[in-house]
Amino acid sequence: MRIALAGNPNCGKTTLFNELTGTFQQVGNWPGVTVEKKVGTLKKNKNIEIVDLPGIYSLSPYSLEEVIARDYLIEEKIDLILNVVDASNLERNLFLTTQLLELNIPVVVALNMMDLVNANQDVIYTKKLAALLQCDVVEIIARNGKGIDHLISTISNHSGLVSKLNCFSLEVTNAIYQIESYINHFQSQLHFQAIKVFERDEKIMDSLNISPSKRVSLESIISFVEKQLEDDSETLIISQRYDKIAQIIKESSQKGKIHTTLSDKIDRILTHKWFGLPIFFGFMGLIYFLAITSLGNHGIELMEKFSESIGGWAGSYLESLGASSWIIGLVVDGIIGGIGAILPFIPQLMILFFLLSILEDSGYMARVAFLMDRIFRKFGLSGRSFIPMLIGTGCSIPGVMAARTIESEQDRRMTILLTPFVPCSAKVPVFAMFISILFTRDAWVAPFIYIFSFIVIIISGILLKKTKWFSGEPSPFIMELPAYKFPRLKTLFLHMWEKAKEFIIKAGTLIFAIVVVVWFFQNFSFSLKYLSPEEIDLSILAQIGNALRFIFIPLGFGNHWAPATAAITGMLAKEVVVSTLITIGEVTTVEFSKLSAFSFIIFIMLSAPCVAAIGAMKKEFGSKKLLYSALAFQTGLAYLISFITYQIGSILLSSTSWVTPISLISNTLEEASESQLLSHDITFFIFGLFLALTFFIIFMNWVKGLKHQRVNSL
Amino acid sequence: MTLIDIIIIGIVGLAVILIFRQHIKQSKQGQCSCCANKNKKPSWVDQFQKSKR
Repeated sequence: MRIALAGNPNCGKTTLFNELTGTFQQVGNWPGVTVEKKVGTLKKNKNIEIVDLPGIYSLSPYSLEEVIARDYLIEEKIDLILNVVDASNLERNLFLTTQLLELNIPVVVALNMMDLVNANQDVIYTKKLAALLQCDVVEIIARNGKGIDHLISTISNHSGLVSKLNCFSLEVTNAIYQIESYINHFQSQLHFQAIKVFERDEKIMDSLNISPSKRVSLESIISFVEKQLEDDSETLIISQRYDKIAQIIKESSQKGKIHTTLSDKIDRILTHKWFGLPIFFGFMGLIYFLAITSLGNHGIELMEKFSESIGGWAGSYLESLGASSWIIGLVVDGIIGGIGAILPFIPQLMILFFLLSILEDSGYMARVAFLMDRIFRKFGLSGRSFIPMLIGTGCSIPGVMAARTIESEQDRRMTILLTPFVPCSAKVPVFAMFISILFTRDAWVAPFIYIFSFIVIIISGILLKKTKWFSGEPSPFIMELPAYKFPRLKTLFLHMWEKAKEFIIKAGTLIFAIVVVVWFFQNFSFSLKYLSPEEIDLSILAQIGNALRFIFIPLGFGNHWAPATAAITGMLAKEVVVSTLITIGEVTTVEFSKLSAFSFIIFIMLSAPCVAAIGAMKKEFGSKKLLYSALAFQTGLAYLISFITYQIGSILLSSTSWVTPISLISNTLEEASESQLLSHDITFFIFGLFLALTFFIIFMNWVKGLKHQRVNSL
Repeated sequence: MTLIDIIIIGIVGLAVILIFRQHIKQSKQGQCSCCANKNKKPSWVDQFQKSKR
């Protein structure tokens, strides 16, 4: 007899496995994957083999573990499923149970952690629960072995009867029966597979080898029910399953006193109606200040040293090989200077993503989605839209793609349009450069840019909601919040490393290609004559910039052709804005006042994203008209806000240092050396904080490990 | 133009053409060249998708 042990993660499955099998267990590998499986025999009956499946929440193919567990249950010959259920969290655990009961395999439910249920003064009527689920239910406390003998005898003497529990409405049930008639009658898990086909589970559909003509018929059955019940098939299955679970719990249990966990206590502060959002913006402000402002000068110093040392070496080496002066210019000023202008911002990005990962991995960001829901709902978006925007802090492309999870078409379109407003990792070097040159004493600038992007998102949302493309009620946002936990150091470093890796790959490929082209346009005239640095104003780039710069005069950065050309080259990849300005700034004077730099940052942050992100938007909108309208809206809004900022700023700040023009390059080293003490102090502070945080996480994980060992030994 | 000039132009030119070709191809598919095929989501997003009702 072979028994599969299935259950949610952390429901006490492994403890029960050890209780049932004693020391007779072996560890093997699942074919093709690295997830471990455990196989053992029942210590009181060696003829019963127990297979421990990975901890899973459902049999849907959302994670690798779920796919493995599902494939094992469908493909292997299992005589009985022992479903371990955390009795203190019945609603979530019974979701998997209802799916296991549909597999046409006998199921025994082990209600674990009954001690917690008793401590909470909850009551579960086990016999009633067994009757409702139509399977055996046994109360156990795996930790101290209570109820294990009863469980073993229930398993050993099982009649082999399978549950016929049906969770679905008449319309859905009829559709499932119709689907069953279309798929292979000899499949033992016909009912389960029909449900999965109804959910449009591609993996199951492929495994059933359904012909295209049958697929069309199946699609018409599914679409008919979707139209009838006004929801998509997957949501119908999930919601009706939860409705059934709610009904079962209501009939078979009674809630005692409601206890507050540590997560609940933390949530009272962090998700507070009034303090929640200021706390979030406080966290984000601190993160952006630590990652960008405080490291800015360090980055610019490194930039100079990098270009000087590598460029100097490469120049003299190429000269010794007999290379022409323009080839040396291409390699030293174009490639090394262009890429070297961006690379020093890697530490800032790494720290930024390390700190953002802490918020994400601890479970805090999930709360922020709810906080945002309250605001977003006011202008017609739901908290769901925050998830793509959060992903957009890394790169707008996966952010735009993530909008697919939003069911409402209006919400999805609006999220696609608004996500590129969030400052992505490519835009970070742009404002980090200006901060390190012009805003070294203005610590509020970096946090303000992030908060400002959200203000623009909210205002845009309010405006767009009034148009026919985006009007409509926002979809409801319901989500099970994970408990707070200490972030895993491995995950944090992995996020940080991936970000650095992506940036380096991009610098070595796309940015390399763009800086070569920019160098060519910057150093050659339309008649293809190689120009000396003094003749740069005759270059192709200068002529294009000069033709367009009048557009940017009202925004404060149209007095020189360099910002205009940087805005255009930035369309290819936003990081190139930095390399364009730096490489031009090295041969001619490029001046910005604080106000014009601020206006320029706003324009770069809000105008149409890079071409790759535009490609993603085009794909997701599925309409050229909508795409062009979105790009026009983004660029138009960027222009308008930059214009207002510069014009109002010119009036209000006319007699301050904010309107004094400063040369981009000559000021670099001067500012860096002036603020060296401040820079070093803050750098030490950051690395101190970074180390302290690292040790704190290691210590907490060690304490957690000790606690875990103690629980196991008890 | 020396031999080293021709070699450098050849290598850089070819690299630029190949990189742009790849980038245009991926952009048309709505992918980013540096994070292509890695539609990353925070860990709790899966949980959100699972619990949607």
